[in-house]
Amino acid sequence: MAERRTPYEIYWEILIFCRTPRAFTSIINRCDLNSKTGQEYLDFLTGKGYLTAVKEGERTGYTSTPRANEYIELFTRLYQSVFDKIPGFKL
Amino acid sequence: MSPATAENLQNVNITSQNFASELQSFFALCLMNLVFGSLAMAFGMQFIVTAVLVMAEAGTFQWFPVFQVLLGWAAAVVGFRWILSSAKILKGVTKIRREYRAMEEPVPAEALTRLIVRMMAHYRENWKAIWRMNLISTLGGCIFFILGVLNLFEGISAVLAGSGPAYVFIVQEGLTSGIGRTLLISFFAAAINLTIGVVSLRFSSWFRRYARAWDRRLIEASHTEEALKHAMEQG
Repeated sequence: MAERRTPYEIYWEILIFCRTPRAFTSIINRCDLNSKTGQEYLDFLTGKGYLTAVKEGERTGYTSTPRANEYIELFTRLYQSVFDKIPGFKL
Repeated sequence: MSPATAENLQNVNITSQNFASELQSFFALCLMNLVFGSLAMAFGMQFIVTAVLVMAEAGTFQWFPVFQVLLGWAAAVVGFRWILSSAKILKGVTKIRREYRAMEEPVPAEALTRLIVRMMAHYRENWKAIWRMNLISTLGGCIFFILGVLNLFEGISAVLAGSGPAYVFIVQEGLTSGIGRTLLISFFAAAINLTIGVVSLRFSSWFRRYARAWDRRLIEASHTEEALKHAMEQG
């Protein structure tokens, strides 16, 4: 349990956040990543076709593609079912 | 709205309510734990001071106050560790709780999932501290239980030192008499220490329940990774 989040949780957070075009710095700030790992995640998702890099003047923004929806929906469904399946803690 | 969408919305609402209730329970547990940690430290210190004063007043070496000093010191140290661990856990939970409360009803599915992911990350980050809390609460509970029993013995031995049953002294001389006062103070201290002891042991069982639920969720989440990997590779 060394890592706080799994790579799949980070992919999901990036894809959700990039529903509207986002700059690199705002992505790494929001998803609590450092520049190096942030770039690695963005490169991976761009390579898979889940993200597109959009040039806006001098800046590059990232946006989730429609292909990302399937992963986002699957993740959302699975994690909610994980939460619901195990009886929670109540005082 | 299609029936499937309506059902989905209803499911999200139920999950949201469960999440809110669980978050509230854990927040309350952390807060109560912080209060009890402070009490443990304060009572531990008070025990040390009282025992030292007893020894100073008696002017002779006695084993019983020395034992009380050692137990008081242990309670103070455990209390301090208790406060530190509780504050660390509470900080993360407060942040998530604040975010949840800032959301408008009905909570969107993705926003709720993000908070579930954050709770998982919080547990992954703090599971050692949470298991330590379980241990500290158990240890604290046992120490206060022993202190409570010692108080009872103190009261009983004060009665045995006098001639005749305690109520005779209390009735004849009132609670301000030597034995009456010792008896009253001892039983009052015993009630406080035994209460803290029992509540602390209850805390440890609550922490165990919380940790078990999240351990199981992490195991379940790790089972979903294969499906997520598959979906990601297909992309």
